Amino acid sequence: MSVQTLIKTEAINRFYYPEEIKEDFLKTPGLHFTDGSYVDSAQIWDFMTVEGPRRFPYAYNKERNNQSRMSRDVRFFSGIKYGYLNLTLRDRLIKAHENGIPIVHVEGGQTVDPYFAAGAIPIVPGPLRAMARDAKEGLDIKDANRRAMKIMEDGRQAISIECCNNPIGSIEAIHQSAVPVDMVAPYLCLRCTDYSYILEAYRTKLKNTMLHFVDFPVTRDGEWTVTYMAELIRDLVKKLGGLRGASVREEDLWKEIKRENRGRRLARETMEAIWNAEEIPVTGSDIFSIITSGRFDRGDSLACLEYLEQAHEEVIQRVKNGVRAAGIPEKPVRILTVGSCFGFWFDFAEEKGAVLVGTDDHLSKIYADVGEEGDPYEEIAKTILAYDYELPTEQRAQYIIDLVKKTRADGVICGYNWGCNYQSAVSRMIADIVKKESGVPTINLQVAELGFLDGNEQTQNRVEAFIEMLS
Amino acid sequence: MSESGAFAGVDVGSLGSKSVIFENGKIIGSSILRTGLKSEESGLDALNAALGDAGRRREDLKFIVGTGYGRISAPYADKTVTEITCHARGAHFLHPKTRTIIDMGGQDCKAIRLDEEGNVTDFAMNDKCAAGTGRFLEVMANVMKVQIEELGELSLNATEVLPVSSTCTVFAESETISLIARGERPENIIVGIHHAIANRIHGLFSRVGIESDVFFSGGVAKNVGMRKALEDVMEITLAQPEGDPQLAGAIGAAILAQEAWANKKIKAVV
Repeated sequence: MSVQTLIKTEAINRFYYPEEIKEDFLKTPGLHFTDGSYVDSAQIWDFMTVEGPRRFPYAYNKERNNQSRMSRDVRFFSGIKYGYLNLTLRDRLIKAHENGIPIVHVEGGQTVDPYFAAGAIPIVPGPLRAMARDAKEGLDIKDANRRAMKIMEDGRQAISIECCNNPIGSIEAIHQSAVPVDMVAPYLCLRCTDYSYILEAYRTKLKNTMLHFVDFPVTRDGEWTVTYMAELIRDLVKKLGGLRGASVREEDLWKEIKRENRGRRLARETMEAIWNAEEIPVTGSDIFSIITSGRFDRGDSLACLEYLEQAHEEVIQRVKNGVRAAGIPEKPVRILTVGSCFGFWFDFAEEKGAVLVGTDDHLSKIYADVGEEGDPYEEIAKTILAYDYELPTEQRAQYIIDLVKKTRADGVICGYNWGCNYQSAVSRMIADIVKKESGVPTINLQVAELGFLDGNEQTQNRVEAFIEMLS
Repeated sequence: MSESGAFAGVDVGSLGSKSVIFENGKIIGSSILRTGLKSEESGLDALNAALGDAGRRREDLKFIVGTGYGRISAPYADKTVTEITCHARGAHFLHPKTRTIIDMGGQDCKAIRLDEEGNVTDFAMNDKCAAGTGRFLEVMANVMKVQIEELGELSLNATEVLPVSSTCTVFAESETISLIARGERPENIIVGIHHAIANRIHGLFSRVGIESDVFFSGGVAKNVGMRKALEDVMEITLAQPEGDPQLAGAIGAAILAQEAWANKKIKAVV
């Protein structure tokens, strides 16, 4: 394909917010941020229609494999605001970093209350890799994808073991200073075997970045595990506070716990309204945004909470009016995905007659409130130790069976990334138990192309055949 | 259901492009060509060859379904469907008692279970590795310096099955070179290669189970040595193909084209 043809093709594939929705959008509230700032809907509109397309053209490409593209349901205004939180993440974190707010790299699957309470910003691998990609602006889909891949491939220089693309990409991004990370401080929960990579990479690549592991008592066999974990959280919070020369008070923790509990509650109430609706009111892309916002992964717990409040209101209204979201097929096959860091092509699935109704990993976070009385450290510890996703495999399978009922899923796709030693070991077992005990068909997929634009055909072929089987 | 008019199925695989023309519930033309560098052209060539074989023109076709990995570049198709669904429908057409399909194509192998109507009830595929596929046999034919078509017949003359690794094509290739260097009989190595693939496929069925009749579809199904290895390793009897098993995907696509046309008409009436 010639350069001219490529440019023409990409222009045709470009996504725009139509001008006719502007007036209604401007009537909606903006978002407050924890640093005291506020953006109104006019500022969000301007960013998403002028600055965003100029700086991040890839996000506006309609290529169906583009996992970073905007929701095509443009009348779901909260979705535009989520897009804003997404595309401004890098700017906001750089500004916070310059103002002395520590940026802390964490892993998925952990409550982030103590990080925000300590005045830090936790950032998980997926958004961190996206931030590194966004350090170079003006890239369209192919170049943005190539840049992300280049960072990840550079990261393989530090590896002598296999692990999934997420930590390789994120650790390398930190090493290249493509993202301003002050500390790497994940929990050592069972869900992921990436820690061995982090440790190995640390020796060769991250010598100048603070590393702090929070141990995870996998046995969870008694009161001591809560006490032990609480002490570790206390130590973590102290260290995080130390990064900005401040001590963290219990009231700071309570304030954050209450905010995040409210966000988690809103996220699950919104999801339950979606699951029980006659028609699916929002796209898979927006469903995913609602679930992941309930784990506050866009760098600001207050803005995420306000997004969830607005999304909740819009969803309830749509359910009441029997609205089916743009792009959602009639009587779609409802797919529940199972597994960490397993990307799903929402638009692709919807084109083929299905819709994503949830992911066990992220849903476990919005169903994990922290107690609001007693010792905040112990309450956080109890929550971490009770995560459904971290349960022994047979119990986790039972949790998924409950989710199948709750979400009214027609099929379950269990997925894991190549190199993920832990999930590859449990995924098949879960697929078998769920199929046997719920009677719902399951499929077990290994994926090797996390976040890649190309080379997805084999995985998509399996997903498409699974949807055809359930149709 | 027999819808009047002509319908086409086009199955563009990684090695072969196949097409079938269906009319009044019967196959009236077909083609099998080598897939070239451009899958759209390969599909069109196969379609035109099948039309020529059937004595029909493009404008005679009411509906075309594309399948196989090349379906993502099939603007000539009115609809695309995965080859898993198509093989199930095609195998059911060729052998209605089929409840289990072993499909070996150029770049993957599939274990498919189906109901009495030819609908898929479960499936499993190899995990993106050439081991256990037609490509594996191509690599091995190259190492053994024989034509791929000769492998099956040669394997029937083996006196013993030499174990060859089924985990990886590259490892198996180096093992095969070692076996040749050691002076082992080529036929014994070749039968070992076939058994390595059969072992791999057997593993897939641990996920979905086996129920008779078992139909072997795909290009490799024409390899008599592979058929025998599968029967020996899996302790099954494969159904005798009533028609060309390599065309199963294209046949299923043509049947689905006919059904899609009928549904379209029903919707238009409603």
